[in-house]
Amino acid sequence: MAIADSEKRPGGITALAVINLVLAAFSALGILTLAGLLLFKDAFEGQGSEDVHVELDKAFGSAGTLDIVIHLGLSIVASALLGLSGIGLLRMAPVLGRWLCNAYALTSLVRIGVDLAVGFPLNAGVLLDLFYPALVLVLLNVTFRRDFAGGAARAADVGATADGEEHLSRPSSTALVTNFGLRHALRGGAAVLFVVVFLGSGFMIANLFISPLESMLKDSPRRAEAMLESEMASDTIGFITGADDATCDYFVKEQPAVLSAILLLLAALMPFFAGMAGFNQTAGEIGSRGLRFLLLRTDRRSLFIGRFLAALLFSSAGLVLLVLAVVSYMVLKLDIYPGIELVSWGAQGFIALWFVLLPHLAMMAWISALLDSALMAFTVGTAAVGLPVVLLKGVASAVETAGGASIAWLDRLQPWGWKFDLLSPSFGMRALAVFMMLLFTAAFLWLGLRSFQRRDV
Amino acid sequence: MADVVEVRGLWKQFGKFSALAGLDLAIPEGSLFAVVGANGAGKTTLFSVLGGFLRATAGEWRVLGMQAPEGGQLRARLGMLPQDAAFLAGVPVLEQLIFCARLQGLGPHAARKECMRTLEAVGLAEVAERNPRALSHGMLKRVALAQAFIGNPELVFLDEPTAGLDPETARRVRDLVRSMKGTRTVVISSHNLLELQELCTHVAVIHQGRTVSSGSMVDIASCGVVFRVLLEEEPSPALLSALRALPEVAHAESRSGELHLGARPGTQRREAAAAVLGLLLAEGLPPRRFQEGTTLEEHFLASVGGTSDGLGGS
Repeated sequence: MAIADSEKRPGGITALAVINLVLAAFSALGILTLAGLLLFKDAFEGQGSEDVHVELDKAFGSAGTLDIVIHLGLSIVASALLGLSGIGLLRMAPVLGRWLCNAYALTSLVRIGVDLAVGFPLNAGVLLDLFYPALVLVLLNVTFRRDFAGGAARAADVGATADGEEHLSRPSSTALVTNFGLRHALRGGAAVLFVVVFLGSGFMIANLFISPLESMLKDSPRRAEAMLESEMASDTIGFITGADDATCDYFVKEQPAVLSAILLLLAALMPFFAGMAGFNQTAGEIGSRGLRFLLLRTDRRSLFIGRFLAALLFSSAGLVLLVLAVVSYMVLKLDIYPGIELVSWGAQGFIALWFVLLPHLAMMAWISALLDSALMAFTVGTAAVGLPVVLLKGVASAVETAGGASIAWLDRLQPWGWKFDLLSPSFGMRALAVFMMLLFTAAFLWLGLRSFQRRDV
Repeated sequence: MADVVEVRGLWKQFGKFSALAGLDLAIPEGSLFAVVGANGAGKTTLFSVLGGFLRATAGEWRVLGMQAPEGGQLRARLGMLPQDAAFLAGVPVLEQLIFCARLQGLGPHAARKECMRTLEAVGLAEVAERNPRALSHGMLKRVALAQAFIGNPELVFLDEPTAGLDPETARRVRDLVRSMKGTRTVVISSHNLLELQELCTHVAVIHQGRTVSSGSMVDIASCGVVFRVLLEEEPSPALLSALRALPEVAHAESRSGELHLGARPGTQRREAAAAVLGLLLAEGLPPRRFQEGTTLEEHFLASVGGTSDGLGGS
């Protein structure tokens, strides 16, 4: 029976419901397209141009008509479950919301398994298909489990901590604030949106590089390998990083080039993702004065650091998921790189991305502590990441055009200027970049804490 | 009785505006202490500075023996109902209160038990699992009150605790506060002066960021003589002018047909009464009722030099 109390719905569930409805609409369009292609497949059986058959192969792989019909059937069921559960989640209905959404996730996962078993092509897009059902299962059955339970069950759950637990040593205020901040971020919806946007964008970036390579490998593996080590690949990396030829060659020839491209593009976008993850560490609750309930009981330092750690933890978890999924996929699917190389480069990439994330989250903590509005913190934070980069590029370009000495070093005055050095071929350069990122983090945290301790809340 | 709160020369500037302008205050231990003042007098600012939310511009203060403590330093010893502070929208009430209790040092089980106790005390146990967005303004105020009483703190500040509450809940809150008399110190800011007079043992009047008077409620009731006189007919402006002209009378006004008179400070009760009665009888207006005494409202008005609405005087 539905609780039918929309007022009790956490923001995270609202976000899930809206995403469900949007994805259900896209899924319906996908089903129609696939059904259309199926008709084409039958019509072009044994005739038509080679191009048409190449496209049909891309869509269906070696799956037969019956397999495609089964795929379509499961897709229709999953899509219907997705749409209905969106409505159910909005109504906070345990059956129509939580259970149908779980059913959708399981149906989707079964469909993907069946697809792979019957010969549908396994491509990077499958990562996107896998990601959302997996996320939904975790959120509904861990984070929001209590929201769908009855009142007594919820009360019992809150008090489920045994008496014996009282004897354990009391966690520090910072740990309590971090724990609560983490849970609130997920329930409030901000972290859910961040994870969806971050992982969605990450998989799209991965797909951008992996899909063409997969097609090329299918057509001509030798040509694909040659292309990966070509000047064009080096030039592309050079365009993203602005690095010298030797560094570009390192990314392309000594490391898996596709993974290098994905990691470098992610490193360039990471500051903006960090802005999304960290804009509301304190600003919203300064505006609503909600922090006053906490300031009576804990010091400002614990609040500030606790909130920062919560933002760092959930964004780190998103980063782990993304790198793990991309590297696993490449290990399983792409034959051109040894698995150990991919895993090693992926691990180095994760560390580099994490060190890009760190100072930018600290900067957002500072900005969030200065302002009284979450929206304003997000706007100012995004501008603080993007504007100096654009301005410095403009000034450097103007100076160089006018014949002046290069002032590219100005980039080094912000974390942005060190992000690619975290993946540098030189260990010394990497160590220096890590040190600088830690220095920026310490500086931003110090400034943030100072502002937060001095201001009226 | 020792003072649990001592404030000396407290200033708080917001730009050019001085919300607190050298405020002094002493709050005795175990008292139910009323802080009264017009809108903008500085009551909420005072509470906010003492709670550690606002940074004072200048001045000294001690709370529970600690010099200018941060809220966290006092932890479970200080409770407060801050004005206009909002709970997180997406997190059930009980979960938020438990978080507060955990920060005060309670274990998970004890925290839950304590929070249910305080919610029951404000009559809201049934909404424990609800989202704050689903609660009315009055209910949210009661949840905030429950928050203030978590852990039975030694000192509790309540900023307008009964504003916006229905009569039954307001009475429940008053009973709760009254039950703390002698064992806890409760500081209450409110515009409901009758309620404060009935409830509190001490009072301070704040005006334009300064304390203009302070003392026990009993002292206030016995000093600053006030007469309330009921005549056969409504007092005329001419009569009011004549009364105001008496050297023993500080102010005279008509409130709902009743004559309210305040004696000039330093004037003996008997002298003032004789002067007033003499003039009334000379005017041929023998009073139907002649009462002597004071109310907190009159004390407040006399302290801030205000008029009967009590809010605009200077």
